[in-house]
Amino acid sequence: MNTERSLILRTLTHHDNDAFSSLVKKHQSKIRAFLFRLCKQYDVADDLAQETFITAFRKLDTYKGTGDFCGWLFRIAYNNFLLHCRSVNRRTEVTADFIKQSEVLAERYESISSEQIDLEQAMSQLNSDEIASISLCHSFGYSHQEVSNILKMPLGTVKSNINRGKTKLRKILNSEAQQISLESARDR
Amino acid sequence: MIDNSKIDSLDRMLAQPALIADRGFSEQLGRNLSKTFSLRSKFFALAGVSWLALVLVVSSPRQLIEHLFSLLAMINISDQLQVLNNSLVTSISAVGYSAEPISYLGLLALVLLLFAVFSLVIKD
Repeated sequence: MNTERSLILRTLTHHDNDAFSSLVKKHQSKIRAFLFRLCKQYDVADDLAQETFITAFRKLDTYKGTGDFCGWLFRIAYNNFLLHCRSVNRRTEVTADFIKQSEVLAERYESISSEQIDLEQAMSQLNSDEIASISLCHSFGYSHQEVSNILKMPLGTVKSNINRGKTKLRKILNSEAQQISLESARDR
Repeated sequence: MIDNSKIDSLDRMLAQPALIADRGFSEQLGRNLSKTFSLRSKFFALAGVSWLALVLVVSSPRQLIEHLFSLLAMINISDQLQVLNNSLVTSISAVGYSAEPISYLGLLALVLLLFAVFSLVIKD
């Protein structure tokens, strides 16, 4: 049976690239979706995801095996994102880039509903700490403490990022809903 | 009336993240990984060969080759290293360089070369 642990062991002991490929296939969609939310550009997110998995392959022997493997990947991905932000220093420009690319959004996903597209667009208006905290906690199922460990943020900061982010999301989705209802009333 | 269903179901929406399709990502990663490690192997091989060349320059090539052949015939690695170390010290002393530091360089060259060969065998 190819459990995650056995795949990691096979990669480490036999340098088995196929075992690592299985791990990549299992986790790539989550890591790329997480990085896309942060970067708001598909190509940049994919480049960072490639770097994330290459780093994971190189440093697999440092993975202690005690925590969740995907959580370890999320931590590498988030560190890569922070390094990318520092090197490019364009945290403020990304929202505009995302809006430009939102037309092709559906093609990039396994499947995506209009509701999910609205959510992704609303997400793009949050700051990166809020996006990371909300995504890990609400979308990928980690506890507040686990998110705090992955992002290396104090627990209180994680909780306030989540609360602030969700309030913003509600406000954005509320204004969108209001706009839609006004438009439909006008059409009638 | 305002449709608040989206806002009420925020947690449910967040719990169902849209996942990005693979579309060749894994294959590209496989290619990048093999490229990275073949580059690393080449780098180590080059480093090993360079060090060996350096040793050949500073010591007597004939003596070194003799010792390399004798090394192949031996089994005990510690003995091999001892013999190589002695030969390097002797040959370098004959040339007139400070023998001790260069003999360590020679040993380092051998270790790098062995590592280079090992790296090639394991990764490729």
